[in-house]
Amino acid sequence: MEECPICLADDQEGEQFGCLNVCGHKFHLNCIREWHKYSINLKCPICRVESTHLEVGEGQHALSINLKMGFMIKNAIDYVGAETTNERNEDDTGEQDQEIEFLSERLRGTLVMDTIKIIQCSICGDTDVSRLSLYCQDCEAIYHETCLRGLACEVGDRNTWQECTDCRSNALLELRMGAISSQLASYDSRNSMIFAGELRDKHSVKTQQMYEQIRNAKHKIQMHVRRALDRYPLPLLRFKDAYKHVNKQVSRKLYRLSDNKYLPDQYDYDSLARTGVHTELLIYCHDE
Amino acid sequence: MAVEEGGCVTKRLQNELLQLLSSTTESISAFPVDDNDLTYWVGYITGPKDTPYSGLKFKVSLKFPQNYPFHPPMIKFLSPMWHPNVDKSGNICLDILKEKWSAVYNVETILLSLQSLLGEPNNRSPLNAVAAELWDADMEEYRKKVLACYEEIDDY
Repeated sequence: MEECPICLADDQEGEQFGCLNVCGHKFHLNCIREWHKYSINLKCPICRVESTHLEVGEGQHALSINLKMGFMIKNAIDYVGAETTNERNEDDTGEQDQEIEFLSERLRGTLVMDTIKIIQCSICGDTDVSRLSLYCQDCEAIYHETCLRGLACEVGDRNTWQECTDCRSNALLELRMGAISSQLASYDSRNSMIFAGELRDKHSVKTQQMYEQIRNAKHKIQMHVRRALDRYPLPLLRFKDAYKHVNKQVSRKLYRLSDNKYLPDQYDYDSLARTGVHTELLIYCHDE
Repeated sequence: MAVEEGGCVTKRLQNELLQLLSSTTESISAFPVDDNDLTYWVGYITGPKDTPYSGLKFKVSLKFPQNYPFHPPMIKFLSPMWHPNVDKSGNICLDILKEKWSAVYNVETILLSLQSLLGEPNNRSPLNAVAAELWDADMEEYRKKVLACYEEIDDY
């Protein structure tokens, strides 16, 4: 009759045992996972040998749980929790515990399926787990909040920035406790006009694809504006600056109109460009 | 099977109590103060032979947190104790009760470790500097100090 060294109970209660892959010591699955929540390393409680995997079950149903991935997530949560300790009040404590428990459950489900994932922001690709702060509960993608906000300003509606780019879910879990309202208050809405922005283009192919889409959309829209401008005789545009100014103003209006996307099915860009160019020229000549 | 954390600590401590009752170690003993509250125990340690504490008995308190055994219990000497690693309030400096804690430790192993600490103090990080000095310098004087501080346990 086997006994778990952590809870001192035997396996009569139906609890499943897990075996650390390096030293071979066995514990109840829930007991060793609970221990890893509190410990500062992945050493065995009995012999202090570091392990990377937890073997569960035997034969064709055997599973190998990657402990390092869960450990990284735990450290990220602990780090974020420590950052907001001074802001947290008593009501947040229970919520914090529930959140950690929730993530632990999700991680258990993920790890049992033996899915190996790189822990990185799905937008910029940065793997510094201490700054990852948004977690999608549906597809388990992880984001920096600044990346999501920046991406929304670049591509979409900044009011819907809390949306997963992989599965479009709204179920993003905030990993900072008690800091949501202050973050929203500190958000500068004027940044919605920034195109270069603060997006990091470090490793992520997705960011480059997004930027490529933006550039293509702007280029196509600008072609309509230039065709409209070219219909005017050159002497009317007395200075080179007139062409530049009108081109810029009308193009920007059309970018904002279609949210930086090229949507020829929804907008008659030629007609809009002609109207815009005409209006801007009148304004420009009047100012002159 | 969802088990609350409070339930875990109670079940674990019940198992420990059963093990202690069937243990053959005579130099240590421990039991809960209140039958309805398993999180507060009192323990007794006999000083090891061939040490300045030989023949003496000491009383300690053990307070178990709700996340025990994943966090160590808080242990203090209730008896007056003169030792390099024990301060005047009875607080103990012992690594297995802090960063070296492991979930497989239990009351018996903790008390046995304290017993070993009596004979082998860690003089590199003393809470009682005079005791640490005297341990190396003058064992006779050390024994006198121990006996001067000692009080018989009246409820043993």
